[in-house]
Amino acid sequence: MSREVQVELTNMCMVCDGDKVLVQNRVKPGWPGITFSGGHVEPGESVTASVIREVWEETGLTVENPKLCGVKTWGGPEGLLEIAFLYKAEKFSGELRPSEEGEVFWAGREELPSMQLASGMEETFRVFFEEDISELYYEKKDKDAPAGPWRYEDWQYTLQ
Amino acid sequence: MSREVQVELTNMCMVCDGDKVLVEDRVGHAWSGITFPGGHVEPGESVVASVIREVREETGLTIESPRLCGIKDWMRDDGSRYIVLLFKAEKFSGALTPSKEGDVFWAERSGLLGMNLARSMRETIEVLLDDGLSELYYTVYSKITDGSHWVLQ
Repeated sequence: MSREVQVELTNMCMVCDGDKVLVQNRVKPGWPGITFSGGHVEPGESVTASVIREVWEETGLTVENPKLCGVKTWGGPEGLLEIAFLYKAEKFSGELRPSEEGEVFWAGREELPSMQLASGMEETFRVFFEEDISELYYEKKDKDAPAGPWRYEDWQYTLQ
Repeated sequence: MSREVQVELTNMCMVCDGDKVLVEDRVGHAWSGITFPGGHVEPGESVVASVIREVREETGLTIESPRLCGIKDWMRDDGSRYIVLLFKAEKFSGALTPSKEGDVFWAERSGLLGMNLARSMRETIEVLLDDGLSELYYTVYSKITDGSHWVLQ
């Protein structure tokens, strides 16, 4: 019996320097706004290696010892649709530079809530900042709704 | 462009009570020996809900606020990825009850490595016990432990 599911595997990393965190102002249509750098886990690559690669590609910084702090997951009828592995990094080297994904810059932690955030980032921050939260789980508000283009408003979440 | 991949998604939990940890002596499987309770993430459930359910089914205990502390993963020959989400739990209630998966009992944390561990548990325990580690990734996963190669990150 096969127990496999079709999943999109992604990562996101919060790079910290004291009270400042590195944010990306994503310009790509589909999911614009302030977020942290990240992307897909490629076949044959460890999840941790994918985090290091994505941060480097999008910010120019090389993070050391990124630490897993939680997951963000989307549930579907057949199982999870996406798993985003959320990492924190406090050690890095290199020179900050933007990528085509968007501008990158340091922001104070307390400024984050008032920024033009990408959808879902508000609750995603809680997994990064609260030690006792390991998962942000989204499921469709209306499980019988016909499939259509992805819209944030169609989902509800729980933090566990 | 679809970026989906085939994944077999599972969980494992180290339940702790002071210096003791709850182990399962897995029997009747290709994968037998001392391990921690765990199993598959089912459709319609979050990862955290799946680990709470598995621990209850295999030990009788209901854990509270399990914390994700790492992952264990490898690529299989068919291109799919096997992922185990590793949790720790320190709060629980209920009475210890074994399941058909095997007997469950408390063991000293310091004595774990001396037990008759199931294949790959030695390095899995390292990720669970070392806060600086997040992932156990097998570059080669062999059904015989000696043939495996891995990185701890």
